[in-house]
Amino acid sequence: MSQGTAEILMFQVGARVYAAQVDDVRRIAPADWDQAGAIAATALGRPFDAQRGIVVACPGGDQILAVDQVLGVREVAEADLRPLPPLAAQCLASAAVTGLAILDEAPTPLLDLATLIQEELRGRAAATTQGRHRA
Amino acid sequence: MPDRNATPRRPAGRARAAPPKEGAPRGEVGLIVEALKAHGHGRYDVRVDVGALRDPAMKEIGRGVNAAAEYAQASMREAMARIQVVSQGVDETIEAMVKLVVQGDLTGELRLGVSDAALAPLIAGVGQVMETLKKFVTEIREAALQLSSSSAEVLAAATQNESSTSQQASAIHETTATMEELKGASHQIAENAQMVAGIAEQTLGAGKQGEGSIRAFMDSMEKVKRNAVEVDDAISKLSRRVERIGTVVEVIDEIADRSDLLALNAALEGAKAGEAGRGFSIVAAEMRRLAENVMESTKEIKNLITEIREATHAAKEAADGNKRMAAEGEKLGGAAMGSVGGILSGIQETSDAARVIHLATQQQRTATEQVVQSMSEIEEVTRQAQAGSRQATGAAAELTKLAERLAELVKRFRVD
Repeated sequence: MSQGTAEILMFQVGARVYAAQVDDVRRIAPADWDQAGAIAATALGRPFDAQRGIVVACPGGDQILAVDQVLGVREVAEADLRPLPPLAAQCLASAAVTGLAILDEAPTPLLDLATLIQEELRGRAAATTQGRHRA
Repeated sequence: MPDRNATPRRPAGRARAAPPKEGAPRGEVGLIVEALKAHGHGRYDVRVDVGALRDPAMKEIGRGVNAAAEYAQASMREAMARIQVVSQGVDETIEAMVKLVVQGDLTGELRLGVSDAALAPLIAGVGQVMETLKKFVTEIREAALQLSSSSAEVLAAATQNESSTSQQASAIHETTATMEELKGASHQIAENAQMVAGIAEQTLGAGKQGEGSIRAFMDSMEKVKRNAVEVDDAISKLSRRVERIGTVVEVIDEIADRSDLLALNAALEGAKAGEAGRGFSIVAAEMRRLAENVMESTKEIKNLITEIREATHAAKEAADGNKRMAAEGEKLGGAAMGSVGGILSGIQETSDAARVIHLATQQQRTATEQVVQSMSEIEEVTRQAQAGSRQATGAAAELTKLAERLAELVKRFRVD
């Protein structure tokens, strides 16, 4: 990687495009992965047709995040990777959005995929617990 | 009986015999001869002057001549009286008969004052005449009554005949006018029938052309049907080929997707490798671009295949439709052929019928003209008959009047 640049993975969930650090991604899975183990719905929403899966290294093991499309790897200037403004960080419910990547003068959410998956998994676990309590 | 006109022409009194004429016997004989000559001429009043006779024998002859003259003169007077009586009886008889006839009373008998036997035949004859007359009057009265009744019937019949003749003349006139119209109509019908025959001929020709066209149409339908079957087969083959292409494209797409995935992971690894992986990343990016191109191409091919599928489906439906339409066309063509055959037959019959009508109407026209001519003659005859009926009616009326008059006249004679 050259000085002052960074490689980010561009992907799409629904109609929106997101970015993630390539180091957070272990690999790209094909569409015919094990759907049962994939994480389809996250704070990003539910993909339309989940053509790709992004394999993310998580503390409990690799997790697959279902996305509609993986647009590719893009090299950006580090100056274009900007931290999330504090006010925005306070307003967002998810901590997975770590910053913004300015691409073609347009801001694209830069995600921490492991955090995104952990939040989803925690949410599921909490829901399961609440369900048991209700039962 | 002596002639009534032979009554004495000289005044009463006795005349003496004239002296003898020259050459006649002279003397006393002459006197007697002259007296006898006068008696021979009907002059019985001439006497012989007996006093002038000297001869006694002449005197006696003179007295005998004078006695005979006296007797003849007395007989004549008696005969004249009888003649007068008979004449009076005849006059009375005739007067009585005339009176009865004039009065019209034939019921009684002749009652006469005369009783002379000489009038008996006359009275009997007159009675017989009266009886005959009575009989005649009776018969004439009956005949007059019958004549009156018959003449009334004749008048009624003549009047009826006149009315009938007038009606007949009117009917004949109307019939003649109708026949004239019929003649015109026949002419028109003949022309129309000829026109119909001409049109039928033209229609027959057109119908035969139509039959040929339908036959050609049916051949075309057969070809269309064969073509549709061939097209259907071709479409089926095309559809199968397209399905195979689709399968191949799916495989290619799958490979391209795998290649894209592989290139993505390669690019990812290249990026993770940093500067060392830059070349790898470039190759991966190029691979990915190729994979994406392939996927774009397969996408286009899929779209084309979809369009081809839709087109082949539409073409198949069209081919099926063509087959159905061709089958229906064949059916319709067959039906049309049958109909045209019927129409041609009908047109032929129409043409024949029109010709027959034309001929029949011409004959009808000729017959109608003859009927018109005959009706004109009948009309003329009827007109004459009408005039005759009028005359007959007038004559019958006159006859009726005469019969009434006769009956009135005969009524004047009473016979019962």
